[in-house]
Amino acid sequence: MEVDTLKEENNIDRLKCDLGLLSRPDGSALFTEGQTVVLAALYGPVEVKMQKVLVEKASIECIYKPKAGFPCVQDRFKESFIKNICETSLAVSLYPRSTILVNIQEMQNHGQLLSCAINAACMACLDSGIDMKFLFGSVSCFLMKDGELSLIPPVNESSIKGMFVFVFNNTKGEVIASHTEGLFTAEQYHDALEGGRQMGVAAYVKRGTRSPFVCHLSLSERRGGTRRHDNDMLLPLRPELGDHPGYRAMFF
Amino acid sequence: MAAIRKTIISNCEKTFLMKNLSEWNRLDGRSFTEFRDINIVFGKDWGCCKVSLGKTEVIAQVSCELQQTKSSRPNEGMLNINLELNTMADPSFDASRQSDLSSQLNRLLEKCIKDSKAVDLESLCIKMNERAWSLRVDINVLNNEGNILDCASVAAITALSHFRRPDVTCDGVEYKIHSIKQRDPIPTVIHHYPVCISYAILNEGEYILADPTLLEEGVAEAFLTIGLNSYKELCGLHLGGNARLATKDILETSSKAAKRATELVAIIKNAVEKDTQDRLKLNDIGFHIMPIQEKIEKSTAELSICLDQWTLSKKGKKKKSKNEPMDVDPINENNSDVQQCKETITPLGNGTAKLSEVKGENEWAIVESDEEAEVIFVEPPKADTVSISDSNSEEEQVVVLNPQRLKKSPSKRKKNRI
Amino acid sequence: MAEQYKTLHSAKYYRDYLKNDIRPDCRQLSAFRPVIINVDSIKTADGSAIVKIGRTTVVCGIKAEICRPKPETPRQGFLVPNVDLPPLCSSKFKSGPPSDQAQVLTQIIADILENSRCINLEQLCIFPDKIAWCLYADIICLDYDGSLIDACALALISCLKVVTLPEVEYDPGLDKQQVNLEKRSPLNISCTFVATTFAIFDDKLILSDPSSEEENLSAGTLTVVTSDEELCYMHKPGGSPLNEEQITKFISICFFKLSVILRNIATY
Repeated sequence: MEVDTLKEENNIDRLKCDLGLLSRPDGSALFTEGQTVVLAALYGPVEVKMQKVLVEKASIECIYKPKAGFPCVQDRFKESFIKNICETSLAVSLYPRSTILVNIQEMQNHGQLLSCAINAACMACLDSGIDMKFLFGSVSCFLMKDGELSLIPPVNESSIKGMFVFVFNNTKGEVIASHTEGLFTAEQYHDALEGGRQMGVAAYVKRGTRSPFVCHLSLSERRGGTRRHDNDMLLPLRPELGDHPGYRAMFF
Repeated sequence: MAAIRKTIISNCEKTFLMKNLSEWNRLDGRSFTEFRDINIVFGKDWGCCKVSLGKTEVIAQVSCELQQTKSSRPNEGMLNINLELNTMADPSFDASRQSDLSSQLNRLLEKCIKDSKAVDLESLCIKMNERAWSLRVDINVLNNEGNILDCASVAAITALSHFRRPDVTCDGVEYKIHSIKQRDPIPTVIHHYPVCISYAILNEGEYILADPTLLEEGVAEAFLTIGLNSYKELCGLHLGGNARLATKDILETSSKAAKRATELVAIIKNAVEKDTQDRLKLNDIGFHIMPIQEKIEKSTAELSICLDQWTLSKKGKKKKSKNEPMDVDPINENNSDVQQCKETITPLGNGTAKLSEVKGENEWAIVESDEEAEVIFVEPPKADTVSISDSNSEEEQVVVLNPQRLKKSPSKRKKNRI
Repeated sequence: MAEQYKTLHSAKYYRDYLKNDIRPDCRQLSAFRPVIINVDSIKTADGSAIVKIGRTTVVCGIKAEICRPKPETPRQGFLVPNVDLPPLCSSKFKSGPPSDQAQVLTQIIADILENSRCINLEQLCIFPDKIAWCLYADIICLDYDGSLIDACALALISCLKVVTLPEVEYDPGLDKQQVNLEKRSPLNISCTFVATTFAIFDDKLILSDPSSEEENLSAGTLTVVTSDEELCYMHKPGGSPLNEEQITKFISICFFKLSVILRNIATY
């Protein structure tokens, strides 16, 4: 990780997303969380490999590529984590005997890689127009040595005692996935969970009221009619968003 | 239903492309010798850059590690270049397996950058016979729209010249790596900037297309890749595929490539210089501040370029075009041949005389049915004033070297039509 | 008859049982399977443990080798856990390179080990930047019947507690080392971690310590790892969503289990 000589941005301007940057995939998203940047691209449903055929649903393949070095066991873990989340959230039973390829590329790491990758994956799914049961959003929460919780990765890495990554769904704001690092107490976990949700939501909302979470769905950039939707896809989902401010902030 | 992973090029697309080429048009409006725009963006970390060539995109990152020196080269560091063909770039790429394409591209990059001794490996050595830095360049392809190699070579050399490694001291026993905070990091010594420049060869060396797109790559018979630095020194040459190319053409193409290489190196150096200036000013740099709207502006800009070139290339066509394989007009044939072909700029490449089994792409050739010939017949006159054809003069391949005529062997044509 | 019913409508079969607050293997919903720990039975390893949770059986062996520390961390040795899921343990796994699941499990175990800070790697260094111990902890699953993380974590910690390393004398001037196999000393392990897995059935019923059948039928699992007074891992990879009360309940169950297991470990 790079030294941080630059001043830390405030919470509000931390999230940014750009959709449809790549011409080849069916959906792609560049997600920026603070100084962490992840690119996700989705192909799907596509031809399935023989050994991965599932007769009743689509199989999901998640490929995570680090920026430097060979993919290691840690990256396998990230792959399986994101794959599980996508399996929960995508309507996989609509595409039997096919594969949905979720590709994640690390672009810049500043401490929130996993949550940023999950958010990027969600946005790429959205961009591709594949059917989803719900959307998901992820928040990283850092536990400092002094017991403080923060959503921003601290400048000094040695002051981190633990880190939590939560993944919420947009329907009820419940936890669909969780991952932790370091030692912590049950109370701290609860505080982080609650705080993560509140602070995460607050960040999304502020973002939403100021300058909306930028997602321009660029129809013009698309090659041919391979994608069913762009704008119309958002409509059927709208009624159920109501109680998750994150969603509102994300898309309006 | 589920799409097939491999991009398949239909005969229609192939025919359309060839037809346009025969009128000296490329589908994206470029001329044959024109390259797509290159754009370099740096990440926050040292030695990280994203390079886009048209819509082809790659990201490169240099990393370093202290290693034991090799006993065969005790005073040198190490350099490894690794190009990954990600599934992200193209669903037919398999991340888990080493494909022929990836090993070929890796070798070409290695030849161009490592074997040309662009990086001073001796300066990477810390203590002879003990420890040296091992540099590793990882290039991940993000989007494959053709010509990955050129894009990757620019990314690799840009990342290497941008990279800084941490300082190291040795107190005799222990090596201490100083973090970037403690001591200023050290840049890598680069002797020269080699880049790869690729051409696609179609129709038996007749069309030599600079910086081919994905479709052009798919239709191409052969590829010519030239590794060059800004001093016009050759750092690698690779002609792969199935086409006969005259030495003259290779030489001519390489001199064009040398010009391009000089431009590219200037772009790279400027980009690195600008980034260094920005960092000195403590500006915030990285992918997280990439402007979001860029895309839209760019696409309209691209469009206007295309439109400009549409007229340009039409004008330009007159002097360039020398043969229209699709033009089956027997009346025009003879006289136009003589008149126009003197002005030919792009030389023909068929040096050898044998009628070979080499495939050509002209499916609309004369052997086809009458209707097809007719359809084509209507178009050429409005498309150009210069219809020169050769499709009838089949036999004497030898004459090909002489710019007056171009011929196709009937045997070839039959093959293509399948 | 029951057999056919089970194969054809396995979910319904389970639901019928769970309606009556009992599981097909006669356990209460929150009951754990019996745990058996056996240590030091493999004499060729520097430390070993066999753990059985119900039918799930896991062997952990630690082998120590002398190696050179990394230049970045000259004062640390290595502890490398590796989980192997051979075809022997379940028909789910095939021979060949480690499956994705094995790799993920390896990473989870490595994460738990790092998070809990139960072992200070500096005690594995013999002489800075010259020689250090590298402990290879191979965890092999012999029978796969659910809650594998629990079994692997328990096997690893029990194994670490019984590992003994021979004394090594090192002369930096001559670059010579002498290993005294007779004189062995144990490692200093600062805490004990215990993992507990839960399965979420039909989005609301919670089954503790699920068998592999239950894991397959359930819509998600949650693993909580507790270490003394603190938590060191909360792993929930997708699946049914959970709310706070449920999580609180899990954590309290885990601490209870920790105390039971600790008593168990203390007996050897």
